[in-house]
Amino acid sequence: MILERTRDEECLSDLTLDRMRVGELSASEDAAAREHLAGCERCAARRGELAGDADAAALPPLAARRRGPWGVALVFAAAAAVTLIVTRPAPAPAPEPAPEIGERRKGAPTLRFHVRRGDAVLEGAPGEVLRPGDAIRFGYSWSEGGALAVLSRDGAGVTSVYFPQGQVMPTVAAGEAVELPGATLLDDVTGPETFYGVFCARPVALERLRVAVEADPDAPRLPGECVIDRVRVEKRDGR
Amino acid sequence: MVQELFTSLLDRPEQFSGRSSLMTFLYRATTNLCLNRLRNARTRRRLLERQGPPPASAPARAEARAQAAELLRRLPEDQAKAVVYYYIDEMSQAEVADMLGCSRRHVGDLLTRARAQAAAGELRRVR
Repeated sequence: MILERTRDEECLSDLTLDRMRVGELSASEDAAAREHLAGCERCAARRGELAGDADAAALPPLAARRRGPWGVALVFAAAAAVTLIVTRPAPAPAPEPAPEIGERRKGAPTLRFHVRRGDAVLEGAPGEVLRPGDAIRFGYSWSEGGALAVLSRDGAGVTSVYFPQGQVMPTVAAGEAVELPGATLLDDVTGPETFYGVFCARPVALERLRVAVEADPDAPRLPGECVIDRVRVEKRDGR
Repeated sequence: MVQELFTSLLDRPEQFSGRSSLMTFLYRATTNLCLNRLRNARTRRRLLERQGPPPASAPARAEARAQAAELLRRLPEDQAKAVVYYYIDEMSQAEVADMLGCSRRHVGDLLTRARAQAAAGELRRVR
């Protein structure tokens, strides 16, 4: 018989596993998938296979030249999902119901980042695989401008503020692909990590932002005038 | 095939409109590209000439692949896509419905018709 399946309908498809790896699933979808994986050896094994394939294909030699945004995004996606990593700077802040990871509202502010590894610089994308020692420089695209902070929750569950370095949420101008000053050197904590770009109409206490992310990483409670853009990456040991 | 897909996307990034997730788009675009290639008779001939006969060590698998390729070539486009998503990518019917932009009920109908076509093809081979 030509038309036969090897897995039950309730099992996770490769598409779901791929979307899970690159952080495209909503919080509820992600939770359901993880629950299934905890009780299904077959799906857990398949997840490992796909992650191995993605890892093998991810970040070939880093191109020193900068590519267009889609070039980079597609390379990362082709690796079947990817993820980045970063260090653990000074602990910091948090906000209101965030859009699901991967969700892009038209005209909404966007968190961007570049990865420097050795002499090469690559524009990062959701699902990127990062290594300890990589340097991350954040940026944004925002049609309105306002107060901005970048936070992170690493594989150990620690929430930190990556930008700014000081105690006050700075105001930034409207712009496309604007780079923020400074860079973050990735530490050796591995695992999935999520970057949170917090865009607010007016400055909010950084510690408030950090506490909100720490309390509810999937849907931080932020002031109404704040919008979050989340990017999930993965930090793995280099080989 | 993958190279062709990504080259095309780098040349014309507007192909991804953002209406679905990037990963979903990549699955859909890859399926469309493969089915188009499969329906191109000249391409099929070239592949057959290049690959030669299937190895004797795997006759059953080669036969199954040939039957599947023939079925996908014969099926209407929407049925072929449903078959790829459901039987090859092994998505749930809900995921297939999302990929095709239709109801689960319609996906069930497409798969039923595809199974009937597959069974008819097997019957013809037996005769």
